[in-house]
Amino acid sequence: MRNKNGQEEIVGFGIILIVIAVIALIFISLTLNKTGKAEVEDFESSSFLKALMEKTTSCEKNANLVAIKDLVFECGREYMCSNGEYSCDVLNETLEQSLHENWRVGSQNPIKGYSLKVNYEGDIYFNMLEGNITSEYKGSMQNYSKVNENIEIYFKVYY
Amino acid sequence: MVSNKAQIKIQQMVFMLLAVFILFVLIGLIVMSSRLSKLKNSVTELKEKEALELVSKLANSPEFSCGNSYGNQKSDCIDYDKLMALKSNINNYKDFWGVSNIEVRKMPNKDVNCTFENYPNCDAIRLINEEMLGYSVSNFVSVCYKEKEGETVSNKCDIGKLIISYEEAEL
Repeated sequence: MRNKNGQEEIVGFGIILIVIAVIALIFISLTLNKTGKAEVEDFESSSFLKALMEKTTSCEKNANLVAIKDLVFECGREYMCSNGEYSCDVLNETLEQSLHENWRVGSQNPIKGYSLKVNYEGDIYFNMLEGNITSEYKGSMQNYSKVNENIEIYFKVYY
Repeated sequence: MVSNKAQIKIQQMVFMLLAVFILFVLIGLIVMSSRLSKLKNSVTELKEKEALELVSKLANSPEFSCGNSYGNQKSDCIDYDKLMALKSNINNYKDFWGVSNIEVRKMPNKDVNCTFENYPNCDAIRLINEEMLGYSVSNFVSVCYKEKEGETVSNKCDIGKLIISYEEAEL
């Protein structure tokens, strides 16, 4: 009977090499698998909402341009701006425009949709939704109070 | 006839040892290259984290912030007029923040860089130099400035972006 020890050893060595190569491949694929940047960072929605609230509008009061956060109060009081515009119309238009300019939504975009809700004294004054609602979102909330008045703004970005 | 069995066995053992040695060298090279790449990523991530913190700090630092210039005290508000003045003295601040460039943009951005000739009819101020090289991090801020219409000067605030660029770590 022919001695097959050498062949057996070579087969064994080959199996060891294959096992080590598979382990090395798994290791390389794990190290190359990196986490990319999130579509929307936590701080972005919050800082956007703060900046949005400070944005001045075309509505004038006492020769000053009224910021969005103050315009919500004026809209609640049904104030007419000095230049004849209705405060709620200016507010609606400014909010829509600002959101549209800063957040591009679409099925091809990383941002799938956004929503903005403005509450005045517990009543929903504005509820805007653009794009699609998904299960993953980042959101923030701002609230402002004046004497006997309170507003809350909720903003969510869906991705 | 001289038996060569022992020589053959020694030869087999030498080949085996050589193959195992080469295998371990290859594995070692793979491990070292992955560790080196992780180290480079860690340094880059740390730089990004520093830049993000800097974005928050910058908007509230005296060189950038609105303070009480636009009515009440505002946070995360950048004084656009002050920024243009800072741009003219930027040589004193070039290495102050440890980043390669800082840009403040009004949104929506039409990519018109601000110079002393076209200000305020522009929407992006680049502080340190004209190029944004390397990686960048950004955050939304309020951008406020004084606007003159006829005889009246009014405070205007827009949504803006503060962008900081930093270079990848070199190893």
